[in-house]
Order: sequence, then structure tokens, then C-alpha cells
Amino acid sequence: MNTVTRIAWAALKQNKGKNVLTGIAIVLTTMLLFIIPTIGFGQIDAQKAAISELYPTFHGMYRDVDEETAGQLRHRAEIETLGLRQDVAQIPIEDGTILVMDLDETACSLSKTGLEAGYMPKERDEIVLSEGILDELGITADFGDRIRIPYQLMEPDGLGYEQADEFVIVGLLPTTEEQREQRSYFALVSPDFMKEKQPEETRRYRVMFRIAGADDMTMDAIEETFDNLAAELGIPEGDVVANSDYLWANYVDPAFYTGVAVVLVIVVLAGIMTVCSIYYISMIYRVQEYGKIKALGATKRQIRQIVFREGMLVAAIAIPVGLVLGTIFSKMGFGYFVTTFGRDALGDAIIQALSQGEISIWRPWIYLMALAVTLAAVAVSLARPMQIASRISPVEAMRYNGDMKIRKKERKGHRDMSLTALTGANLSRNKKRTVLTVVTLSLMGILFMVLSTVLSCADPEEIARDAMFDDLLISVDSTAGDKMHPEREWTAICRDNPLNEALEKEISQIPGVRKITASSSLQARLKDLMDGDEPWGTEIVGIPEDYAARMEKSIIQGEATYESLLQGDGIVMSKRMLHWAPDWKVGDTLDMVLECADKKVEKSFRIAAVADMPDGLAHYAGFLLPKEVTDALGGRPMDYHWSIATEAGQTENVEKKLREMIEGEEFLELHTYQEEVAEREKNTGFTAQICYVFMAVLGGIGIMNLVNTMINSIYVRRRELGILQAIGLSEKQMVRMLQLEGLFYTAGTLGLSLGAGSAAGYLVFLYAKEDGLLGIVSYHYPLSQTVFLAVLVAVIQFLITYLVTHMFRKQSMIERIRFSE
Amino acid sequence: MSDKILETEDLCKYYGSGENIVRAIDHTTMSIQRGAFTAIVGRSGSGKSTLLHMLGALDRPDSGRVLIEGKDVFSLKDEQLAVFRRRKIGFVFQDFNLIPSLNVWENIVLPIGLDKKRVDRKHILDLAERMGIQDKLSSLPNTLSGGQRQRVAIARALAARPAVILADEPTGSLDSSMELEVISLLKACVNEYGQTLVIITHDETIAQMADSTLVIADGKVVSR
Repeated sequence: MNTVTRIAWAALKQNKGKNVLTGIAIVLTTMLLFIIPTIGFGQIDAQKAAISELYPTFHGMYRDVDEETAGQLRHRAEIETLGLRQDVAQIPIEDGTILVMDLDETACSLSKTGLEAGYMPKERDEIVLSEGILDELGITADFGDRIRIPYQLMEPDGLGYEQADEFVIVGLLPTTEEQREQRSYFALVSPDFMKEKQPEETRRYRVMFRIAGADDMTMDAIEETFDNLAAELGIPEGDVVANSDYLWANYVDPAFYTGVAVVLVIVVLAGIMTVCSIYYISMIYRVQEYGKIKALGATKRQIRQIVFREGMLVAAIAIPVGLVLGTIFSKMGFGYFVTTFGRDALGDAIIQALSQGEISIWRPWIYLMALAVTLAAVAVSLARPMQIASRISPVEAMRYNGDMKIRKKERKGHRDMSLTALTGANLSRNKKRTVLTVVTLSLMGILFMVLSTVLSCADPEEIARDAMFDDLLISVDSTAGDKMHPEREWTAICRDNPLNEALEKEISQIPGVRKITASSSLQARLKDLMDGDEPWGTEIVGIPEDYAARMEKSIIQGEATYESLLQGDGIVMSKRMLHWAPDWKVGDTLDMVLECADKKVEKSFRIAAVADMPDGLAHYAGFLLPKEVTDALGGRPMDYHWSIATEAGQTENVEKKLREMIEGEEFLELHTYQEEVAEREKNTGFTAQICYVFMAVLGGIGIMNLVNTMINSIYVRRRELGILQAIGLSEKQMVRMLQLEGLFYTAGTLGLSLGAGSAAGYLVFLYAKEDGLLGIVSYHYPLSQTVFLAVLVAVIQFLITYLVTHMFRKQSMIERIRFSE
Repeated sequence: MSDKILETEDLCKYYGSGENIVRAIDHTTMSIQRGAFTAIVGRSGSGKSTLLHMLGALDRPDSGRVLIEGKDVFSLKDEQLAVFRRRKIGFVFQDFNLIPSLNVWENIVLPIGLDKKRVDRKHILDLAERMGIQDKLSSLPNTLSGGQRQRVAIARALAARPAVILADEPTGSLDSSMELEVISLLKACVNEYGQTLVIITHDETIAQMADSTLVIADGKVVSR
């Protein structure tokens, strides 16, 4: 060890306190630099691996495409590969579906349909099915066996009558857990069989395709290409399906990398700022020492070396610690994410891929990057102290006290001095720095507020409440268009509606039931919008007067009140209908065929308004009328949904009673608010957690920044504070003064964070709502987060002030006053 | 009331321990008369600054007592001590120790403000005029010369009309032409307002201007 290194090493031990502080800042910076990309890229990798494993590889799919359009698509330059699927029939089973379809070879490969054994059906009587299907049908058969299978053909208006045919099993498809759970399977038949059963004019293909030249495109560009193509060929927006997960996994938006880079830059800057100012402060003490060393004959270069080596020695200890901690936290964090939010097929695939070592979240370059960037940050932070230490003359060094330079010559001042005036004078001493501190602290706060707004709007309970106004919902369970089961049609069920007065009486007598709110449903066909050869089928929801306000609130175009709709000629259209009929607007007249119990009624409505209605109001119906009107049109009470409000704490009881009550009812189903919440939580949980982690990171940086600012402002002025105490500032007054200063930063930071943050949050909400991000429906000010932020900032401020003054007290006033001597 | 304004009884302050022990103040008993100008002289490291800090209640002794107007100052709690100090004692430091963010006026009236008292404007203007800084009241300290800064510091020490002014090498950072001027000013003011002045110095000329001189060596008063 040469002299320079030895001096640096001795200095390192001598200034343990400062170096521990620096070390912590370096450890934190390294950790953040490591964890953020590791978890970020790890998550992407895991999802990519799992998605590529599980998901079909087509970019998009058009539904309901006729033979002619399919032919046109085949010749389009935009399309690279194209596969066709034609659904032929359904094999009837209770509470499940078995689709019978024909897939061409490309469709097979695009949809990742692989056989466990055998070959694809070629002859008319050949079929490929799965063990699950055989189990459902209760047939014991094997490969090569000839079996008789019942089916209902797909017809334009639903399912046809049941028939049966003999088929030879030529291939076996795998059966997944999910298929068994949902009782949803598919079987494959030959093109010959399909052509026989589905003549060309009734064929409606699902066209799966990959876009040409997609490798150089972003997800958005790919989607835009097939959306434009669909528009050109007259395929309605509602029939265009993007394979979003696959696209997302394979065509990562460059914006994502930009996002990661921005976060990393923020971390690096915060790290540099923190390390830099800790060194700067410690310099004030040490410059005198360097002066002595210089006086003894050290050259400028040697002094720089001493400062640099001391810093690097700290980094040499802190960076590995940061990497080790980063590795531990990344593993924990990643494991937590995957196991907590991935309990579906995708999550299982991720866990499997991880446990089988197919993907590893550890990337050497992240270790190297974190190491290099932190080292660079430390080096940058050391530049200024090195410069101060080397430039100062030994004599100056003895007197150096790091006082801030004041350029101003005069100050208006106060006639009477007070603590507040003293604090004000200190804050205004370097206005630029004060403002900069408030702004940097606020940046974190603003980001926090934006994320909080998104999370607060994406509140699962709130979104669930949007879909269910009360705790329980009993709905009619009808199926449209199944020829084998005409009794399941709503038009049939409503003749003897299970949601009748007797049931209502029974339910209202259950202890704990507060209110039953009934909505009706009426089936309608739109004569001006064709679904193939048939007029478009939709529902009209009939809302009770209780919901009038909600309906009026949701109107986005046009005007309608509950009273005006009672006239019977105006109707409210759901915004969702615009997907299929983008040209329709307020004032247009729509001709409908209403399907009532025993008759079909032709009726024209004027679109009075377009509304963006909550699901709990519209129940996914395309149109809305008052319940009186739908019931009158239907010729009887058309009650379809009963929303049941319960007394607080009685929901479970009521639910139990209701379940018992409707147990034998074939056509009723019960849905609870809790189920809805659970569903929503599953959807938003993952995103919420990511946001919380991001906020924790931001919070960490913000706190580091705040601590640093406070320590800096107090330590730089510690001599001044000593003098103030000597001339009569009492301990209490000093703490009060520092708290006042803290209060200023707190108030400034909060003011800016909450003000600008709320505004920015609202803008992000508008964007999220428009894009249907996270199911966000309405704006919710993140009140609890706001209070949390305010309390957190205040508590941290208070704690820091307390700790710093405590540390400060350890030194006697004399030491503080004289420390420059 | 006794005419002894400042007294120490068997005052001790040691630094370090074992072989390295430094007896900065070693069983010192002394007193200073009200209204007197006392110079404390001694070599570097003799303990004179430590004694002044004890007298000014800036630092607590290891043992012994300091009495100001007969009151044992270290029997007070920190909070009370701070209040006592700002009412009874004015400090003048070698390197001025002005608050850089406050202008001259604010620096001067700061001790009054900290005591939550109203500023006697006439008194302060009078002081400023005597110190020759009446034109500089809204200037910031960094624009002043060394002599001007020290005069501001003196005005600050006198502003609250404390009973005792303690000055630690008040001319140490000034050139010789300023030295006598500053000391004369201090002495004149103290006389006029009936205050007691204690100055630490190793300047013989200043010591000779004093009413009495205490010589400190190895933490003890060796002569007077």
C-alpha cells in the first residue's frame, strides 16, 4: 500500500460516520439500479417465454368473415400468412361447450393446435377429439374406433336441431386442466364435412393472420395495419380481435424501454445528488486536513488521489453489498409477483418455466451496468470535492468552512427580528437552491400523485360497484338461438318469469334485505345493421326510475331524461354500439323488431342520446329505456335483473338464503358483489403492485433527497447555528426554527405535488378512461394517498429535524462555533 | 447586591484522560467587579478561552460553579440557561460571527428578537451611529470590511443591554490601526451603559487599557 492509499484508508476509518452515510447512499443506488431492470426485464422475459409457449402466434383475427372477403384477404400484401377456422357445430353437453370446427393447416399452426397422436381429419367421417370430450360424452373409445357423436349445427340464428353421425377417431388433442374446469373443448372435422354442413353462403370464417414485415414494427403499428385493413374491407371494429398478449410480448413498445431508462436516469441522478452532497458536506471538515497534508508536501495530484481513493474504497465495499442485497430483493420481489398475481395458465407457465430453469432473471449485463453506473456516479460525485481539496492553498484550507457564497449586497430586512424572519432570511439566502429543492422533491410527489390517481380510479371495489350497484344480483339465465333448447330463450322464460311477485315477496321477507331494484330486458333485432344475413340481435335494458339519475349522468351525447323517455319514441344508445355502427348518431331513427313473449313488434326509435353507461345500469345491453316502456312493449313484466341491497353485515346471510331459494330454479343465477370484486382485483392487482413498487422506489429516492437536503442545510450552517445559540437562541427555538424550515419545504413540496400532481393525475385519468385502461370508469381523487403523502412527508421532515438536532446537540456549542479555527 | 458580578468557585474543565489529560481550567477561583474592564491574558493554550466560555455559560464545567450576579448559572436547565445568557451576556468573537443571510440591522437586533422583545429603535440607531455603521444598516455582512464587521458584532453584543460583555480576542482578525479604535469604542460604550467588560487578549497594549488584568497559565489564575 503506498502512502496515498494508506492516507485514504486512514481517512476512511477516521470518518466512519460520513462514510457509512455515503455507503448507504451508494448501496441504495446500486440496489435500485439493479432491482428495477432485473424485475422489469425478468417479468417481460418470463411473460414472453410463457406467452410464446401458450399463446397462439397470429397477430390478429377477424371474425364473421364471408368466403369472398376471406378470398380478398388472401391476396392482400399486408397479410403474411392466413389461416381459416370455420365453426361447424356444437356437441351438446350440460353446462359446457364442445365446438366442432374445421381448421386449415395454417390456422392449426397459428393457433398452436397440435395433436397428441394421429393425424388431422381428411375424410368426411374422420374426427379429432380429446380425452376430455370422450369423458364428457361418457364414451370409452380409442384411436381408430368408430363412434356415434350427436351435434347441433351452427346456423345463422343460433344452434340447429340435434343430429348424430358416425365418426372415426383419427387423432387426439391434449386436454388441459382449464378445459376440464370450464368444460369447454373443441373437436376437429375434415374440410369435406364442414363444406357439406356449412354451404358457402352460410360460412363465416374466423381469419387468423400474421402481418407482413412485422419484425420491424411496434405493437401499435401492427394493430393499426390490421385495423385499417378491416375498415377497408368493411369488417366491423367489433369483429377485429388483436392477439394482444402475444403482440405485447413480441413487439415491445420502444416506449417501454424509454420508460425503464427514464426511471434509471432518475435513480442515477438521485444517487449522484445524494453521494455528491454527502461528500460536499464532509469536505467542509476535511479540507483543513487536506491543507495540512498539502503543507507537508503533497502535490495537487496526490490530494486528488487521496480524495478519490477514499471514495472508491467506500464504493468498493458498498457496491458489492448493494449487488448482493439487490439480488436477494429481486429474487424475493420477483417470486412474490409471480406467485401472487399469476395464478392462471400464464402464471403457471411462468412458474414452470422459472422452476425448470428455462428462464433466468439474472443477467450479467445488469450486474455490470449497476456496477459501472454506480462507480461512474461516485466518480462524478467525487469530482467536485477533489477539485476543492486540490485547489485550495494550505492557508486557505485551515480557514475553509464551506460557507455558501452570497452575491447579494443588501437586504431589505425586518425591523423586528423573530424566528420566522430568521427562517425566511435563511431560505431566501439562495432562492434558486430553495426553489430547486422544492421542485426536485415535488417531482417525486407529482409522480406519486399520478400513480395514486390511476390506482385510486382502478379501485377494484369501485369498478365492481360500477358493475353491481348492490351486494347481490339475481339474473335470469337465458340462452339465445339454441334450437334444441327453445325453452332457454328469454322470450320463452318470460312467459313464466321466475322473477315474479311471489319471489319478490319471499326475498323481501328475508331478514336483512333492504331493497330490491328490478331492471327489465327486451330482445331486439336491428333492421339497419346486419350480422351476416340476419339483422343484428341486441338487448334493450329497462331501468327503474331509481336509476334515472345514473342514466342521465352517463349521457355523453344528446339529451334524455327518464320522463322524456317515457314518451316511448326516444331511446338511449350505449356507447359500445358505436363499435359496430360507428355512423349512428343522436337524432337517427332505428327500426327494430322487438321479440316479446308471443309476438314480434316492429317499432322505430329515435336515438335521443348516447351514453357511456356503467355495467350495473346497462348490463351490457345496447340500448336503454325506462322499465315501464319495456314492460309495456313486452306486454308483461320483463324483469331480468334484481339488484338486492342488504343491511350492513347481513349480506352473507341473505346470500345463503337466496342460494337456497333459487337452488331448484333452472333459469336464475346469483352473482355477488364480492365475486365481482375478486374478479376485478385479479385484473388490477398486478398492475397495482407494480405501481406500488415503483412508488416505493420513488419514495426511497424522495426520502434520500429530503434527508440530504435537511442534513445539508443544517450541517453547512452548524457554525452559524452555534453562534445563534451563543447570542441567545434557545434549544427549543433552534428546533422550532429548523422545523419552520422543514415546514416550508414540506408545505412547498406538498403544495406543488398535490396541485400539479392532482392536475396531471386527472389528465392521466381522462386518458385511461378513454382507452379503457384497467377498467377505469370514474374519477376518484386519491384522498387516502394524498393524506398518506402529506403525513409521510410531514413525519419524515419532523423525524429528520429531530434526528439532526439530536446529532447536532452531541457537539458542544464551542466546537461548533470554533470549528473553523 | 454584591459588587462582584462574575465569580468562579473551584472551576475545573479537563479534556482527554489518563496521560493525555489536558487541564484547561484547573481549580480556578476568581471574581470580576461590576462595571470593571478586565483583561484576561495568557499564552496560547493557557485556558483563557475555555475560562471565557465558562464565564459566558457556553460550555459546562466538569466541576465547580460559575456565579453571575450571584446566581449559579449551571444549576439552570439548558432552556433557562439560553434565556439567562441572552439577557445577561453579550459576546464578541474574534472572527465576528455575523449571520451572513441577515443584514446589519437584523444582525444587531437578533438577540432582542430571540428574546421576543420589542426593539428600542432609538437605542439601536444610537448604537449604530456610535459604531459608525449607520449607513450600512441594510448591507449584508459580506460587503463590509473587517473593522466594520467587528463593530456590527459589538453593536449586536450591546443591543440587548446585557450586564456583561465577553470578548474573545475581538481584535484578533483586525489590523493594528483598527485595534485600538475598536477597543476604545467598546470601552466607551461599556462605561456609558454601565456594563462589565471582559476581554481575552494577548496584546499588551489592550491589557494595559484595562482596569484589571488576570493572567492565566496552565488553567490557573496566576496573578492579577
